[in-house]
Amino acid sequence: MGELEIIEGIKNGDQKLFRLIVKEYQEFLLNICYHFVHNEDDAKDLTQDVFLEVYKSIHAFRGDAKFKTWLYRIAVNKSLNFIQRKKIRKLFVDMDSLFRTGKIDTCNNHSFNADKTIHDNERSRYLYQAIDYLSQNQRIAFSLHHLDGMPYSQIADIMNISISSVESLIHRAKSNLQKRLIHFYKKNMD
Amino acid sequence: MICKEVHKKFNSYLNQTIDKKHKRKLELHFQDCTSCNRILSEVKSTMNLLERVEILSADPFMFTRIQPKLEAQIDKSKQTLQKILHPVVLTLILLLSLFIGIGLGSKYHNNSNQNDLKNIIGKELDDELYFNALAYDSIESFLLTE
Repeated sequence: MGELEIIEGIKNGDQKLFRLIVKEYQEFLLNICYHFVHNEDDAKDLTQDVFLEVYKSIHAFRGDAKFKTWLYRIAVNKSLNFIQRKKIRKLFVDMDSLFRTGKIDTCNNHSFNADKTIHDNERSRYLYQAIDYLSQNQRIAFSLHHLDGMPYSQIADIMNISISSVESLIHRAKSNLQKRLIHFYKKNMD
Repeated sequence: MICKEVHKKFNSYLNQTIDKKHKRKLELHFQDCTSCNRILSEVKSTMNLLERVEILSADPFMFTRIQPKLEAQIDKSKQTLQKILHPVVLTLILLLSLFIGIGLGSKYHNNSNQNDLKNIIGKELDDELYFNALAYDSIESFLLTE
């Protein structure tokens, strides 16, 4: 059974066919979400939300783009919305903490001793923090290319921009990421 | 070369966009300065993590988890449709009954009222009667005829 037939079946309310779509794309969507939110549980919840959104708006899929590209777009949008909501929630928590104690809870600011060995899981945390500082477009392009191993052409399809723009975004993202890491390590080693 | 200058050139060194002369100077500095050397190696190690990205494996119960939410979503959309349809249908019935009522009422009013008044005053009814009924049939004359 072809993908288009499966989609038509889902449009007619066939949940068994939707199960095939979930089986086929869940790992791939889970990793897209994970590389944006950097938390396994959040990524799993987001993947469920993505599939629910897919089922809800499958009627809107007209086949102009590839189904996989359409799925990517939903996953990226959901992830970015989640990050935005999380930032707003954190802002309220910080404000609440500031009003209550006069201090902002800084548990996210990790510092380390210059003598201490930094392990890879710590490094990856710093890397993800640095990625979080990138602008939205740089972040999408960089994550899809470096973390999900997607080619420039596919990223261009998803983001609706030219391949050269994708190249430029990724180059600037990498440079900004290095600057952020240099700044971070310099600050914490002084 | 002092550390501050080196920090400024770190990025171009890592991107390999630095000229040979400065590259040599930086490398000499890295040999002597443990702090700058450490920053450089940490940044390199962190960036190298991009080559070994963590991949999560699929959850075998994903669809089982989604299914109840999916059904709830379908029920919710049905309920939403009902929520919209109920008031619309009720309003239509109300309007329809209102129009039927007005239609029937005006038909009855024209026939029966006009005939009754025509019998009482013995004249053809015109619009004036409604505004000046006493001119046709005053209270006094009505009492005298009784």
